[in-house]
Amino acid sequence: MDLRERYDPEDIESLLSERAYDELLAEERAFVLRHLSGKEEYDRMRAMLHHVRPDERSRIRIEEDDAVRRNVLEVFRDQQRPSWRIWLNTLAAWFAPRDVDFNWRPVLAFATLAVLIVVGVFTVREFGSNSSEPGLAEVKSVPTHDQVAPVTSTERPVQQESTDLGSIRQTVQPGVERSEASTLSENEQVRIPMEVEKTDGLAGSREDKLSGGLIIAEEEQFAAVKDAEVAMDEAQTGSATSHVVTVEELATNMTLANEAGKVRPASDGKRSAAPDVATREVNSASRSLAQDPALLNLLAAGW
Amino acid sequence: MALFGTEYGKQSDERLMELVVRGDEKAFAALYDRYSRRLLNYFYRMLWSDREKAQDFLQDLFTKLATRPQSYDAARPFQTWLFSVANNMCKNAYRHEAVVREAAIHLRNGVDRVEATGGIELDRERFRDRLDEELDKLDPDHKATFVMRFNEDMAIKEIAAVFNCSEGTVKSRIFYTLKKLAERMKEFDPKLIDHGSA
Repeated sequence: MDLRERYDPEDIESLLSERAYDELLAEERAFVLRHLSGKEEYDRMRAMLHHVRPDERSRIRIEEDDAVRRNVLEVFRDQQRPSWRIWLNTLAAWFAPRDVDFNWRPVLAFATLAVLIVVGVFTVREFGSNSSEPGLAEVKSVPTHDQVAPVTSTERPVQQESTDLGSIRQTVQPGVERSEASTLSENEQVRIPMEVEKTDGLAGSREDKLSGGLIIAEEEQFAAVKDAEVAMDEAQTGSATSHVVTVEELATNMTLANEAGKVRPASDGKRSAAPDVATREVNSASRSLAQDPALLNLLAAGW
Repeated sequence: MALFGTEYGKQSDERLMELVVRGDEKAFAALYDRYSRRLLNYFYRMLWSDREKAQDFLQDLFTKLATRPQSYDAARPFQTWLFSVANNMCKNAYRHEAVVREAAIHLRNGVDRVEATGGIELDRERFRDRLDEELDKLDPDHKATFVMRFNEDMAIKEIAAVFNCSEGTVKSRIFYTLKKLAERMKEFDPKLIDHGSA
């Protein structure tokens, strides 16, 4: 048999461990001599091998630290716990991929996000305002006296009303202050009972001031009261000029009186400081005049 | 099949590793108990008899195994795969600490030369120190092969699987390592060695 088939060059370890140089067969010795210098080297290697092997096995083996075991088991436990953390490195790799071909991912994501935002804003604007839920406040246009329709559409002569007004003026006269000279027309005198009634209402209802809240109306009302006082003075002195009141003027005056009665003048405190009996009588009379249609008809007939 | 605590020791390494991949902590502990001491001493021999470094490397190795058990190649025997990982760690350590190793070798040479001049006397401790010194001078693969073969008592086939090479390569490494050691340690009388080991 060929030596190369029987002994590989690396198999000399088995020869070293099993046989001394003198014990080698001729063919084995020839094989050894092809790799070693001679008997001396063979014996040295054999002694080394025989000494190394038990020496390695008999070496004191160090013991592992218990802390190492605890640490690695703790790491294993931590690894098995579910983790929901999103690592920034992962996000960065996703937003900025190394391969340019994968840039479509963040682009697609951002484009989708932008479209969703636009659609969401559009939807809220379009359908969010149509909700039937009542709001906290509502803005309504306040009708002014110019826009109010006439109370009555009758074409009765207003002279009858002036007749009744004359009697009312006489009732009102004692309680009304006389402060200014009269330059008002008969049309303005018609306000007298209405404004007096409103004056009384001003003293009684402070809550209405908030609901109405129109300063313009208060000023107009206050001016109307002043005018009424002047008109009564004129009526007593007879200095007023005759004037035929039209239906429109009468309706406008009454509407003003009715509206003014709902609000409270800013000078309420001054005027309600010392109300007297005459004022209360005028108030009661004007209230009945404003509310009773029969009286209105009678007033119209008098004119 | 549910595994009880006493049965983990009977399972093969590969079966335990399957359980580890599924998150079985007891299987992981069984593998650690089975290989930790061997690996610790392997690191100890390979890393210049540095006990602390060996402990650190052992912990690093099993930490890798705990964090990435899927990296285990099921086609390979677990032992050879584990030692190949350990061997790669040692190679990295050799690269990083080549300067330190050279300094340690020079320092050890100076001490041993003084002692060696006192006469050739077979002393097991001295022989070990000298052997370690010479092993440190070898190529890491040759040293690792020598340690696996004679310290871990691994078969040629297993060592070949660790290094992913042929068995002939392993035998060749062993042969030339023995030849170098015998040549460099001439001062130790072979006859005395033979008597000492007998």
